[in-house]
Amino acid sequence: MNMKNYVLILIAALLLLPFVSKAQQANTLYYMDRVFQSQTVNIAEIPENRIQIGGLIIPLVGQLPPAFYFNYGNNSFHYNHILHFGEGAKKDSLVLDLPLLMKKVRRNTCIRGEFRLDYFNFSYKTKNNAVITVNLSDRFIYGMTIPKSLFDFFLNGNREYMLEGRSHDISKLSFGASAFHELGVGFTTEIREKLSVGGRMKLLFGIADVSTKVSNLELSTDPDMYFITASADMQIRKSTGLFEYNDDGFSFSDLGQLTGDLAALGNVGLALDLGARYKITDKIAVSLSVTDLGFINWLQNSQIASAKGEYTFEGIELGFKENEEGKLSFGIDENRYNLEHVMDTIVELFEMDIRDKSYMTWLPSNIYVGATYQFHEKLGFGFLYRGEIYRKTYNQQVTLSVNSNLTHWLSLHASWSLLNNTILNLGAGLSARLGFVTWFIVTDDVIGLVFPQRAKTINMRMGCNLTIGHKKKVLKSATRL
Amino acid sequence: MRNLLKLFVLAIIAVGCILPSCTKDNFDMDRLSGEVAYDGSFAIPLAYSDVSFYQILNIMDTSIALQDNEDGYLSMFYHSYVESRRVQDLLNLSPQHYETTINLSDMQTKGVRAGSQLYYDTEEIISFTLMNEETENNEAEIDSLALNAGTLEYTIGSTFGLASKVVVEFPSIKRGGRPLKDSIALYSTDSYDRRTLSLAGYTIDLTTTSRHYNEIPVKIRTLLDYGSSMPTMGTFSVGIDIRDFNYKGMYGFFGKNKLLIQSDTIEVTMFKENPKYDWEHAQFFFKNPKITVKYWNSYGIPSRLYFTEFDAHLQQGDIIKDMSFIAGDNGNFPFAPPSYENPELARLGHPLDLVSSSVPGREAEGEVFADATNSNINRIVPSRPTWIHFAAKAETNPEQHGWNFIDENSKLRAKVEIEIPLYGHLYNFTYRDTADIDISSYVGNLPVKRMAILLNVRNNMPVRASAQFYLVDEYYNVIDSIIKTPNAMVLEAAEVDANGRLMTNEPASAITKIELTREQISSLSNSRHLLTKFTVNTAGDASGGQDVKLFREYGFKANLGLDFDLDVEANINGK
Repeated sequence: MNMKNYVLILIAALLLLPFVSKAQQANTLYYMDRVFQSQTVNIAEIPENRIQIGGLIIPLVGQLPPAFYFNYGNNSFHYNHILHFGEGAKKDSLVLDLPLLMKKVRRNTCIRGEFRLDYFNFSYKTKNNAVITVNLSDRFIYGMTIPKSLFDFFLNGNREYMLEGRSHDISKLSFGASAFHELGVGFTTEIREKLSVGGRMKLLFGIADVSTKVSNLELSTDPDMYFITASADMQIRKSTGLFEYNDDGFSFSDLGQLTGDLAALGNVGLALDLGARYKITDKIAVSLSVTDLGFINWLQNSQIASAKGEYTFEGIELGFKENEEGKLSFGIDENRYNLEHVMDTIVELFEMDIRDKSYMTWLPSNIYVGATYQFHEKLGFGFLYRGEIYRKTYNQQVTLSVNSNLTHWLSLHASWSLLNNTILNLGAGLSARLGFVTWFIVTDDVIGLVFPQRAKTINMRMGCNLTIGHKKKVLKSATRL
Repeated sequence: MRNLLKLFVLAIIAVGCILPSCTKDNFDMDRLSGEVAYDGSFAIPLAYSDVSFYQILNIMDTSIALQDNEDGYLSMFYHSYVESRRVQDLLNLSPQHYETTINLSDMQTKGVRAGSQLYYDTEEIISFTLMNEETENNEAEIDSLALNAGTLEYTIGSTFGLASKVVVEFPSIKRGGRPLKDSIALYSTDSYDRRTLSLAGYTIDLTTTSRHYNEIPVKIRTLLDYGSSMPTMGTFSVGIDIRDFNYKGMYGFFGKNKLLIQSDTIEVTMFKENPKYDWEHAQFFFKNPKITVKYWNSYGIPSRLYFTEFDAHLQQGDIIKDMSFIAGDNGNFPFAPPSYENPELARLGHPLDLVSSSVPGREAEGEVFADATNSNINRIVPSRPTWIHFAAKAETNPEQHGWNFIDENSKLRAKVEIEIPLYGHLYNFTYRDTADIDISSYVGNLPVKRMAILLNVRNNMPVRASAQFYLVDEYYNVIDSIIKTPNAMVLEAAEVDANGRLMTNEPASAITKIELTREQISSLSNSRHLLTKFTVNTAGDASGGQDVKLFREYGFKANLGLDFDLDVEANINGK
């Protein structure tokens, strides 16, 4: 493989593989009241149409565009912080800029992401504004937290730490990737004239999971011998039939096993969405929403590899081995130091205790606090605060939006967000109803879609709904009060 | 409003068109300059090895057989095997022939008439003439033979011109308890016939005659059917051939046979001329070297072994001849027996009477050795013999008459073994080697501005060593040396007690740190080979001559670390 391909893979690994959560980051969607998928982030929202049906299984319109959502967020760096066009003679060439990357890396680099396919969405609103919703979706959430000291270790080296008698504390290191089916049933109602509340119970069926649980992980270098010692208290957990560890070491199954994982219903979980919206005046309303408050219990094909203690790496072992003729030769044990057996080597190095055991993972949960002000009958302003709790981290975002139900069939939305430690996040949303079909597309960062090389956030949601029972009258307010 | 919508749609289309062209370039890996700047500073453990002295010696000289000796420490062994010939070749039974003539007068005077028939019984003795041509004085006295295979052929001739019959019976050649018996009938028109019989599975008892050995009795009945008138003349001729012997076992007294006449050499490779070793300037002493002759004998025959030649050949071409190092005051090494072949050496002779097998199929074994107690071998090893030449003989029944046996697999094997125990001292021994690797291919343009190699050796051997590494070019000209401190020890010796054993299990530690400057790193790139030189000494100093023992479990653990500052301005495209 060409070296540049390695570079591309490295960057892809840094930017894309370690997604984790930012689950349900849909800040612009929050105020798209004509799209009933906004209920996924604010269950207290009451759709304007009596019946709406969406999702991939809806014939024809369900796939145009396909009902999906994906999100990527990185709070430290973007692609151009690793590779960018150079200067002078190199202005047309891409330059690998590791010092810039190191400069941009934050204390903890949090990389999060989600991919979601909606197979079926349904909502039915009664005459007295009670709403029942049902959804069936597949979700894949994944992410990684990389402490700066780990970048330090690989990019700046360990010598300075060694001379100063310091260790690289990478206890914040985490990785997680979960895929699961979600079946949700929600109910929303106006309990008083100005107050609507809603809740959604979601039954989750885990497909596969790989995750870590690190309580302590430190790397230190002995100044006399250069031995690298890892003090570890960590677990690596998996629930998938794609690979397993047994007496013979790691073994990987063929991809056919994925079918078994997809059909698995043994990893059961529950999650809850709760929301409330209160209209303070005719023009001002506030809302509160909590989503994905839940867990999955991983039972099937689950294994936990635990390492607790100190593990010292003394280098590659060289030794004598006897060939078939009984002659000795000196060198590396090729069976031990073999890329195919790298996992076995890690298990051996950390003296991992591997057991078939179930475990539980929590979903990344979100808190939304919103407020709207109706400036004009066709124009309103929104404020949204979003907090995400994922493992030991709490990430916050703020979004300001302008929302307009421009005509009776067209709505436009624009937003500005403070996301992933960058202020340059301009979002946009559009929904258009043609007959009984409503198309919609929304993103929190248009620039990220146009210039992914500079994006710390890339997200997009799109879909199409069948709309029945639409009120032909143009709504007075663009932002629902 | 409509215009606003048009504007919005146009903006989306414009963005859609611009997106691929301006973004695509950022992900076009063909634009990758390939140049990368990187300046990390690392201290890493590179490799480690836990090696034993046993393994090192084995890999240095593959011809050495290292074994634990009787005292528990290691000895180097060099050996060669000698082996007797196949027993069938050694005691080869030649074809046996017997013939007799029976004439009419014998039949008429000693025979019996019955009607028109005349028959005559006679008992003859086949003398079993032995044996192979090397058997001295033809003195073998065979009692019995068990045959895997063999052929008995007998021929009958008649000049009577009458119907007749000849019956032959061998009462001492039996199979399943039944003697071998056969007959040939001749018609009046026949004058000759032949019959061939297989002797597979038969045993032959050669003791049934009055002589009690080497004889096979045969009973012959001749029968003549003369009709109305008795013939006036005529004879029967009987010929018997026994041949193609393949015996399973043979019993009796086999006389003197030469079991073994063989010469061979044993290479003492450690002293052979080798550019890697410098023994010439080394001071060394090996305590109790030893030459051992081990043998395994499955012959049931008293036998005697002796060497007729035993020469030590030295590196310079000199030869220490004829056992002058074997014979000490108490010499008992089996060399040239008295009154035999080499009278001038008779005074040295102590022929070895081999222990013989007592049960067919079972080996007897024994050994004889020459060491410092019974020879001058201690004086030979310091002369660094490179190979030992010897010639050996063995003979059966050297003196006494007795009962012998052999089976089809009987063999005499002897192993001549030179043992050099790893007990003694060694000073100023140098070992040189050239790593035939193109170092530049590994470190060419090494992107480091500073590098230090750390070698930490914890030694559990009573051996110390200094090392030097030379960088040499393709013509083996030295470009630079790696270690700037001459005679710096990379291996410190662990202390030993008066018996040459390690005093404690605490290893002796030596840390060597080699700082490489940018110039040296640059010369690494120009070097094509790495020449290594180790100077090895056992514990103590040469004047003291402290003897040490080296045990199998002795060894050392070495850790190699690398401390370097990267200064990469590399082209990762490799262009």
